[in-house]
Amino acid sequence: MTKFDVELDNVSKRFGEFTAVDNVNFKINKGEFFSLLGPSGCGKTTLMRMISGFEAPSEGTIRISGKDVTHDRPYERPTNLVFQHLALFPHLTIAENIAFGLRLKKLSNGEIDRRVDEMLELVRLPGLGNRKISQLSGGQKQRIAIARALVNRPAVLLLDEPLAALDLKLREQMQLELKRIQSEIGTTFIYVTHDQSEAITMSDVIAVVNKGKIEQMADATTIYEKPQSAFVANFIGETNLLEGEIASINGDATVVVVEGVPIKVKSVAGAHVGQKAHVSVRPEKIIFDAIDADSCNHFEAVIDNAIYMGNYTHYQMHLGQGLKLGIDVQNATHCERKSIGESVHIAWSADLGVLLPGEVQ
Amino acid sequence: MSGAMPMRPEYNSEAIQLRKRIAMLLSPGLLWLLVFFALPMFFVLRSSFDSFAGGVMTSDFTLQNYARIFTEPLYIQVLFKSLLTGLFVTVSCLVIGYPVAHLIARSTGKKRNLLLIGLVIPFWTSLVVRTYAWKLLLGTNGVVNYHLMQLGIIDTPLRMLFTTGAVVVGLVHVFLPFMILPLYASIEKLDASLEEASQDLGANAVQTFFKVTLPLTLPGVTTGCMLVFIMTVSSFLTPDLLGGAGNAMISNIIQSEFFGTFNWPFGSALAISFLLFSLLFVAVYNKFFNREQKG
Ligand SMILES: Nc1ncnc2c1ncn2[C@@H]1O[C@H](COP(=O)(O)OP(=O)(O)OP(=O)(O)O)[C@@H](O)[C@H]1O
Ligand SMILES: [Mg+2]
Repeated sequence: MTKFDVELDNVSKRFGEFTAVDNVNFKINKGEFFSLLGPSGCGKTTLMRMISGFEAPSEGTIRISGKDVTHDRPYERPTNLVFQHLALFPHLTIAENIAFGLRLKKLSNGEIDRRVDEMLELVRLPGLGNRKISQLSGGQKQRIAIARALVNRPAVLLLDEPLAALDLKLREQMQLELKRIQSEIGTTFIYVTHDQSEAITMSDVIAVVNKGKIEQMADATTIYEKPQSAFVANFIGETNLLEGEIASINGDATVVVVEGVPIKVKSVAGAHVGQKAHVSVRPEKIIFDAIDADSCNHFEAVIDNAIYMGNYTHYQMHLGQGLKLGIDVQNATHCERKSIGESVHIAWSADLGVLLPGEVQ
Repeated sequence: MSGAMPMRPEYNSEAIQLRKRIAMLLSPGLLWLLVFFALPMFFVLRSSFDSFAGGVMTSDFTLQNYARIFTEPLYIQVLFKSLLTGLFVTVSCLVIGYPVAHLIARSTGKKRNLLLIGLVIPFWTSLVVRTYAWKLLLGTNGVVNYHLMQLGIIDTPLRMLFTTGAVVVGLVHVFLPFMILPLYASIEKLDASLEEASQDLGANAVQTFFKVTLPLTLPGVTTGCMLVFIMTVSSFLTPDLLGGAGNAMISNIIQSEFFGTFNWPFGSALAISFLLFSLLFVAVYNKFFNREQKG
């Protein structure tokens, strides 16, 4: 037996001329919480539909628990899908919805009742079995959809933006619930979302998808701190994406000139002098300070705008001729706030920026 | 809250306005129904109590006509046979029509439009013409018999015309669109992801049909069945042209009383009995299926 629950080898999907999924490869460990994160239309749903069997890949192989399922029908696969719009059966009660898959497996009534109750317990809706679907709130429907899928004990549970329709508070609460359920039962989850904070809080591994391709696949910290492309840096969290040209490479130290301003950044393999490149610096990595060390970027800047965000303040500023930067400063104690037009010293350590050679596609 | 009281008279006058408008909009239709439906029905009802002897109608109040319907076996037989034909035609239309409706509802764009147009094209031709076409096909020297003989499958022509089978085939052909259209409307409303969810949970195509698609499209099924059944049982032209004397249905019997024996009182009694019977049937059917859908 392999230790992977889901493996995709060179999977592509074309609709006519249009390539929705482009040569995707990944392996998901047993019990992992794996997220597919990407903008609308990047092919996330298409990937899920191929894994659950509603769409056949144009090329490539899909294996689940080591078995090739590329051409298996949806009802032959050990996967269950929580649909983007839930798709609960309106003509059945909650208990009947959850029992749907178990009845097809011809389990005894006693066993079915026991497992349905167990599921209602797990999603924290005990005793609601006899209600109709229309009598549930959005968050409750969500839980029933998850229970209906999980009760079949799938090897892999696929969730297609299951929380997208919920309001922020409920969504955050459901994120925790999902995480709790996953750690309680240990099933492999593949979770689709276009909400980066959702992916960061929940996932063991995040695959960032762009135009049908996987841009980067790693844990949340790596994706955030060490993005491999300008797309990833920009899509996950806020960042200052500074476009310039590499002026010098000296061992570990590279200098990129952005609008006439030399920016120090840690070298990466494969970059060369004269190449176009981006430097990504997260706004919270920059501080108000006047350190003048070799390993640091240090500039004088003028504040253009200060936006109070509660726990932090977001400052927009420019330095030199017009290079614009945004920085976030925690409102820790009663720290003095800078005012618009004020001249300030800012600094960030060279290794906190990320060098991304090449142009943005 | 205090502002609510002065609002009331205004609201009331608005409601009166609305009622006036509804009455105005309805009145042409109501007038039409009164003159061309309610009045004739009243005359038919009145005449069903008249007596008829030696070719002469006499204004009367007798239940004789109704008694005759229930004592002479012929009429109960025809009624029974009409119902049976109705049942058979309805089930055939449902079985043939459902897959077609499903196909149309699940196709998209241009293909769907073409299929829908194909469905209504038959209505561009008169029913009489279409029924005569069946006569040409099914007759003793008709197209079907000719080819069967040419191919050497049979030696003597099959008797297809003037059989119950011919009536059923003709009626299914005429009423199939009335089954498909309501089915199409309710399948189209059914979210395709419900059928996918069923498959995802382990149901194959057949199980998905009986557990999800059919229960959720029952409103279309009941409407379609009701339409086809009522129209079949009251059909006149098709059994007349394809069924002949031996396969008369209720309408044919009524017609022959009015224009064959000229016994209008008895014809009226038949018509009224049949109407009452239909209403009773519709009421029972509605009650049964409405309960089904609510509970
Ligand atoms: N059946 C289809 N026929 C043609 N094109 C399709 C089909 N299904 C999806 N596509 C296209 O493939 C692309 C990816 O679609 P997909 O539904 O996978 O996006 P997504 O990442 O799930 O987006 P969202 O976040 O909006 O749900 C889209 O451009 C879409 O138009
Ligand atoms: Mg999607």
